[in-house]
Amino acid sequence: MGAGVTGSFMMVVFALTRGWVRMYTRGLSGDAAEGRRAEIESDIWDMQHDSDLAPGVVSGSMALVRLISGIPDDIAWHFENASTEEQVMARRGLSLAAATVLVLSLWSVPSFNRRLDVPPCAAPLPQVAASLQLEVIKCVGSLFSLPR
Amino acid sequence: MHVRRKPGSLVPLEIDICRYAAELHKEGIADFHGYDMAKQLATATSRQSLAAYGTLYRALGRLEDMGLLKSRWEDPRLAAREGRPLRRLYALTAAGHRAVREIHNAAVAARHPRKGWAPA
Repeated sequence: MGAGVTGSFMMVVFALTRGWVRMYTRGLSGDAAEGRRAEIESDIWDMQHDSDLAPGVVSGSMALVRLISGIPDDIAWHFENASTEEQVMARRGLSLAAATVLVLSLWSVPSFNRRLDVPPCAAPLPQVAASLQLEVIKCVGSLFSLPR
Repeated sequence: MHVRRKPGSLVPLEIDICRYAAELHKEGIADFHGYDMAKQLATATSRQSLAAYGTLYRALGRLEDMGLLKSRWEDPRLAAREGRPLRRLYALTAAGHRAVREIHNAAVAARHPRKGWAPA
């Protein structure tokens, strides 16, 4: 797998992270939202330029885990910083957004994996003779016939 | 799932943050930023993964609300000179240092319980 592809994986994850941060900080008043966005942006830059991390699937996966595993805390942080009115509207929206981010994150991973070899299909079932089928029906039918 | 905790109590991640902030302070590093702390935590706990964004920054915010950490935005000129976004820098407060000492003393006491006199 080339460095370009694996580097792209990390960039996709960072883009998802930025999108998610914009979503859960939307509608919040005050400096908290702006501060959070700036802080995460700085973290992303630091991770991207960390010489201890080689651009690759492992680093990209690490960034993905950082995003996904922190979603519950992000949602909790939103409600801690939201007014009561904002909380009512945000509760549904954030749940939907979190589910979307999760699906997109999981979708992005298989794109960079090797294709899996699909095992050959199992052998088809043998054809049952029509006469045997008729015998089975007669036997089952005899169970329901009235006694003479 | 909402986990209730006693007011003023610290979760393990918050304890680790305070502890490693104190260690950085001993090494002469008064300020740290979020990614610094994430790497420090990963190294110290021998984990392969860095702390999650949401978990780490919520913990840092909580510690600041409790008065154990203080934060400031760095000089914008420094960030501009290095061509990177502005960093929020955290430092342990005096209360934070006291908390770390109490945590350390409690851990030592738990490992070495004092032997008391047995009743006759």
